[in-house]
Amino acid sequence: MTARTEAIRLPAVPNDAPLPRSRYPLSFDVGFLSVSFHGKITLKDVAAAIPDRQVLAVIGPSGAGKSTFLRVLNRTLEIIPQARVVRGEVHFKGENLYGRGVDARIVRKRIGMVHQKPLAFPLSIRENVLFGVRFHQHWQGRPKDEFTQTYLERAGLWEEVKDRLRQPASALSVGQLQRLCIARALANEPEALLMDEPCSALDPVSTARIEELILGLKEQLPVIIVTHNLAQARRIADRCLFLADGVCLEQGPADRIFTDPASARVRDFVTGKIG
Amino acid sequence: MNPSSPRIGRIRYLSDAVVRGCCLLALCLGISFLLLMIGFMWRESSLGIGFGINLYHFLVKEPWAPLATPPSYGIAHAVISTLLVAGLSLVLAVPLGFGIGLFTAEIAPLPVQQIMQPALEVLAGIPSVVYGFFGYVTLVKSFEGWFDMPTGECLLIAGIILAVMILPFIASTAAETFRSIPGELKDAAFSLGVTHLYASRRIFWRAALPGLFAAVALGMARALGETLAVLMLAGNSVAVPHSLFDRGQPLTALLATELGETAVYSVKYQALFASGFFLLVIVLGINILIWIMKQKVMQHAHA
Amino acid sequence: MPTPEQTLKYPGATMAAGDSFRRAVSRDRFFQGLLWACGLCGFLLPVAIIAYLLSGGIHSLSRTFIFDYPRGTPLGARGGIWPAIQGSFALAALGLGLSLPLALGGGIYLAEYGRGRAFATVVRFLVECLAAVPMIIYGLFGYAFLVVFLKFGVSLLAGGIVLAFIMFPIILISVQESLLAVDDAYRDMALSLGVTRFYLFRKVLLPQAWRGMVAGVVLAVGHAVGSAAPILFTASIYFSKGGLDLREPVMTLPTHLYNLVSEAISFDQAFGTALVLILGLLLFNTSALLLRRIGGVNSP
Repeated sequence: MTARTEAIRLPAVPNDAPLPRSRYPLSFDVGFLSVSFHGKITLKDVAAAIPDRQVLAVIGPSGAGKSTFLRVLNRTLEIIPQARVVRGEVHFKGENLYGRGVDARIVRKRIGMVHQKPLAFPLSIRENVLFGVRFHQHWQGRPKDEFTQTYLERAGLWEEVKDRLRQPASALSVGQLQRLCIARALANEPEALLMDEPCSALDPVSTARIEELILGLKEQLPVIIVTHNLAQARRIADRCLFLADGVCLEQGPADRIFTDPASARVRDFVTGKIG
Repeated sequence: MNPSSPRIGRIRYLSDAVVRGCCLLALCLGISFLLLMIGFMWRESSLGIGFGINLYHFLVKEPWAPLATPPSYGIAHAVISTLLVAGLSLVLAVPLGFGIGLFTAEIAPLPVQQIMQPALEVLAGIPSVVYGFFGYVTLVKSFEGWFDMPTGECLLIAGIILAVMILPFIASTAAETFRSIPGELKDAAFSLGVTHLYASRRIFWRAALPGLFAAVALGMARALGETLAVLMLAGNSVAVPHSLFDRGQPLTALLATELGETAVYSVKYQALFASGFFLLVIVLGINILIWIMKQKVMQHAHA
Repeated sequence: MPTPEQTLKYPGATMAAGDSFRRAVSRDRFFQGLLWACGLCGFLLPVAIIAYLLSGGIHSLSRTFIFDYPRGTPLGARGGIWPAIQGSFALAALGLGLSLPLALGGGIYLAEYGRGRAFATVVRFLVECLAAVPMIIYGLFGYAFLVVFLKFGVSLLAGGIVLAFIMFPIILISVQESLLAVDDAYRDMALSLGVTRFYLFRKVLLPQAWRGMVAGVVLAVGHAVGSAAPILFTASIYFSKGGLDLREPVMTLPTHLYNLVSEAISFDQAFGTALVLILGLLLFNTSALLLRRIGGVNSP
């Protein structure tokens, strides 16, 4: 039986039945999500149940739609022209993200994202961190310097830049830049963090630092990370979601996916037989 | 290569060399136009030999009075008229052009974008003389009525119509610039939940700066070089203008008016060519600047 | 207590500054409204100008107007503009005939033979400079060089050569760009079969690039036909009964329009002339646009 038939045969609900067993309540609840890009369906009937305070790794072959899935979760899909959510629902902590009257910008504040390529705004390091903060103005009486320090510390960058906060951020190395982007995203005080292959442009040392960060972060908010690096997924993920050709083939606890997946294609993938 | 027909092969390759040579010749002929033009202007103005008036007097002090005794050939009035008209047109066209560019690049839905492009092309394709005619029958006549002027021609109208003429060039260059802002920068900014206005004024304008400079420079170069419209609208007065409501005579209009009444190789002839050379140098200089800016925009897009 | 729906619409208990968000959103909405207004202006301006010219001039368009020569006192107040139409056509044809082979050859060279070399970049830069030279300077140069120095006199020949100068850089740039837009893969494939560059050009590149090139030619001709400044002193005459002679000056549409207005001869006739000129150019430009659309290749 080929993987293709298998995919069509699966019901459009998560593989675990009925709900994932976890200490924490659901943060994201995705159902029947279908996305089209230039008229072509790129995600088909994806369903996912993501508990709070856990790391979910979205894995799968290239072009499977992993980044698209992430973009749906924080409503940045609509920035891309010609990309649309065709059907489906996304709920975050019980609230419908695509409901009537919901402002996408508030969704983006509450659900932060870190991108693959670290990019500094043409501003100082301090102003980079405070970029979202100055807009949403949620410092609640805390002085901005304290704010900056807090989030730079959480991102593990404070020691390296504390003496040059007012200097342009463009002078930082790639690894530092990515931590700056994480600090910038965290400064918005989001309730969930999405990460799209955050370490793919980095060296192993920076990668290790960021993985350490993620393990610390997960104690406060759900982290959903798209990664090509299976070893990384093994290291940090609590749960995994496998996407291939725009369809969710399997999802569940990470150790089960990696040791004894139900789908043959997934098994081939995690054991390295196919890429 | 087919070994049974080496001669055909050789002829084919030879003809290719001939074609290549012809094309190169065509190219060199074309390039020599530019050099010929510059050289000839220089020669006709006899600037190299000097025709008796030093540059400062020519540009700033002397009035244009070829019929006076002694005749004087200063172009101060033309320089000031040109600056006033071009300046006004830039003040009007640059904000509107940037707005249209930003609108087309960022905010307009696709069908609207597709109408804007031909609309701007139509605007760019209307000849200078038709703009002059349009301005004459609309604004000049109206001004005579509203402001009780003996003749409605003035620098203000010339500036307004000139602004409409340079608008499409500024708008399309600005749109091109805004489109070249890297998508990753927009992603990074909007993922933080900020509005278009906030992101534009804090980050995007900086990324767009060289291209926007190029757009302004392009508008300026075109404004300096336009002839027929300002000829028909600015009033052709050799007196130095003091306000936008005065009549004036931008440099291009001076050249167009006076050349017909000039004896070849006379001092006036040389003065006219000197002015032309001066204009040519300035416009070319601005275009070199634009070229440099455009290289910078390309670098941004590929970075 | 805000309902679950409300916490996403308006910042709730987790966020302190709901008002500032609302203010920022209304500022953004105002800004977007301003931009829409700009876009509207940009669209309405050409529409308004064309509509005004149409309304003023459509009644002047008649068979007499197009095919007769100027009559009346002062000359041009009645009658038609046929000699001007003839003259414009003749100048355009002459200019195109002179500039097209040179621009075509030059564009092909820059795109195919000289690519990547410093020479090509310098030359392209010089050509762009040429394209930027003001029309009146072309007129001055044409007068001094062609009319006086080479003793062609104010003539169709001199005007045609000046227009050729003007059209050359525009056509060359569009030829080069159309060729550069063709995917390099085609070149690699063909050249690895051992064919000459010219064969490659004829069979592979030209069929894909010709539409962009023709569009460029059409735009260059439109640009040149509409210009009065270079023609004023090199080829134009106030009045003629028609007939074309290389050594004789001609009437042209733009100079006729200028004449009608500056001498205040007849505004009715001027509207008609302007309309003929504009409609002719619009037709030209529309055909260029259609060619680009049908072509499908990303031509400039």
